[in-house]
Amino acid sequence: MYMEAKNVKFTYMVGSPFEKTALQNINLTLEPNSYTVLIGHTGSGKSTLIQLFNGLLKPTDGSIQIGNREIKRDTKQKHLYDVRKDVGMVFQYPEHQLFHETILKDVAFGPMNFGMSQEEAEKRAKESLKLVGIEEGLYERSPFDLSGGQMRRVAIAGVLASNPKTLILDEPTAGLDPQGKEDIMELFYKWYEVSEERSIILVTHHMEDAAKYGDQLIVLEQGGIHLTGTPKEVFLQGDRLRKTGLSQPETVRLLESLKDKSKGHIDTLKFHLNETVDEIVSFLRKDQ
Amino acid sequence: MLDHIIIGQYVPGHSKVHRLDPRAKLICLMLFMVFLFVSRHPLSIGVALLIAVLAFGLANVPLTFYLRGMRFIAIIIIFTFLLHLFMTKEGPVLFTTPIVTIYLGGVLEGVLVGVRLLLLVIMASLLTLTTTPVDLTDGMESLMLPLKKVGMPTHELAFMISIALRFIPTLLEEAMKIIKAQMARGANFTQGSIWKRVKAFVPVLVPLFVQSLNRAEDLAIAMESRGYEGGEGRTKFRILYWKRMDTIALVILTLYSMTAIFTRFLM
Ligand SMILES: Nc1ncnc2c1ncn2[C@@H]1O[C@H](COP(=O)(O)OP(=O)(O)OP(=O)(O)O)[C@@H](O)[C@H]1O
Ligand SMILES: [Mg+2]
Repeated sequence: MYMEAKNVKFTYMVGSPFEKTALQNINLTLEPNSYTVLIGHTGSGKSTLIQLFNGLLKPTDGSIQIGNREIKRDTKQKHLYDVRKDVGMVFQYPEHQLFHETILKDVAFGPMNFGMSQEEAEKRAKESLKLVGIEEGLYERSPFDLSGGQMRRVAIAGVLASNPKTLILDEPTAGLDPQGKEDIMELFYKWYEVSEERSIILVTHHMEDAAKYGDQLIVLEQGGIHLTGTPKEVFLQGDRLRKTGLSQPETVRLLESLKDKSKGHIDTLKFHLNETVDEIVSFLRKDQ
Repeated sequence: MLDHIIIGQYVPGHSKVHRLDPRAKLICLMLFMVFLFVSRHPLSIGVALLIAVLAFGLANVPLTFYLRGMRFIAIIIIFTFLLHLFMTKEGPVLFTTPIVTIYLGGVLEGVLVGVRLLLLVIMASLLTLTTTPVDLTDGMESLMLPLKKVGMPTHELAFMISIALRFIPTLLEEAMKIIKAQMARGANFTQGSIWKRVKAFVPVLVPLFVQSLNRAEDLAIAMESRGYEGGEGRTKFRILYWKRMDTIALVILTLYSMTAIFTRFLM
């Protein structure tokens, strides 16, 4: 879905001693069927920005366009409700939102809120649970009996079940083991590839994931946009990234230090392990 | 949505009220509360108002912030006012409608109770707005010391209160997060019948409750693993000092108490 932020400003707790402007002068466009990654130091405003893109917050100034709807500071709550049908959101630690007696009912909560019949909602719920890899034997169990990783999957299924066009992910893999992290990131990519209609916005502190999955990277710093571009464009600017407290992916850092030490010709912008190995091998061959 | 609840929030500052000894603040507040309900005479209500204005002026807490926090309280105050207005049947009749008759006594009683409640809330929230939870606990514990002689677990009591106070903002923050997560899944808290809206909060309350229990357990383990074992033999890192300002505050409140007693019982 097409999304755009026009001159957006957002201030928390307007008119209190804790007033805090979290975002300023934000101008962005997100094309349909794109995979956008937001990176930035802690407190740079990533979570605030994505909440604006799903109608949970309204801009203090400027406007947000989501599909053909526009959100401004005076947009009615009912209008925002419609936005959320199309934009799903997986929060950090989404397992904290589980509440129903059974896993199946919990996952069907979203679709039913958005007006599906119970039958249809349960059908959707089962599809989503299958997608995230929860076995059928667990459907009637309480979500609180699961392990942390399984709870995370159920919570993600609960968001996917509403069949959003755009999926927003706020550090969805925080606190998981490396294999679990990779599985979940792959799962989102699989979901994304199914249809031309689907887009993803990912917030992450993992430069490796940002480089691997993103078509477009947005670097936030202190509530403003610091850099945007493709992963290659962004990760080429190592110094500018380090200034904001970020780094390049490990593969790039490895190749860069190799390049520095050897003064050879190396293309440092490799984000996948295979590409990196190939680059090193071809460098070693050339050397001999 | 819950941004404007100010109970239990501390606004950092260095005003005269911030710097008062927590014991002084607690005693003053207690005197104020007790004698506010003794006060009936315009003179002593006036003195109470004056004290509230003075305390408020010295505290340097932004007025707009304060007023926002009062919105919910205002509903309660208006409700009590109306209740007294319609239920008190004393004094001359002011006017009659087919449904209710308003008496002068009702108006006076309503205003009195409304003003009392308002002052009460203003002063009570001023305490938490200008005192850190840690100071508050220290103050309470030290005031409860005499009760320890009769076997009251004063340290534990004070500690419990301070933990409860400390976690009000955390709980609100957490509630807000869960509300947002459920809203993203299409939950609707602002539309439909009352019953529907109340039911809409189940998906918020269940996770909130689960998390609070988990947190309580974590906190207990964290405290025990750092060697906490209650008040026995525990020394203080922060020591409270009674200053001249504290005595002055206490004197003012004592004068008020005397005014309240005098106007109520001796005039
Ligand atoms: N509910 C709130 N009330 C007041 N200020 C807030 C609130 N939420 C966030 N802020 C402030 O707004 C700024 C941006 O916060 P935000 O949560 O968007 O950062 P973030 O980039 O997501 O950080 P992180 O990587 O740590 O998640 C921070 O300075 C934060 O202190
Ligand atoms: Mg965040």
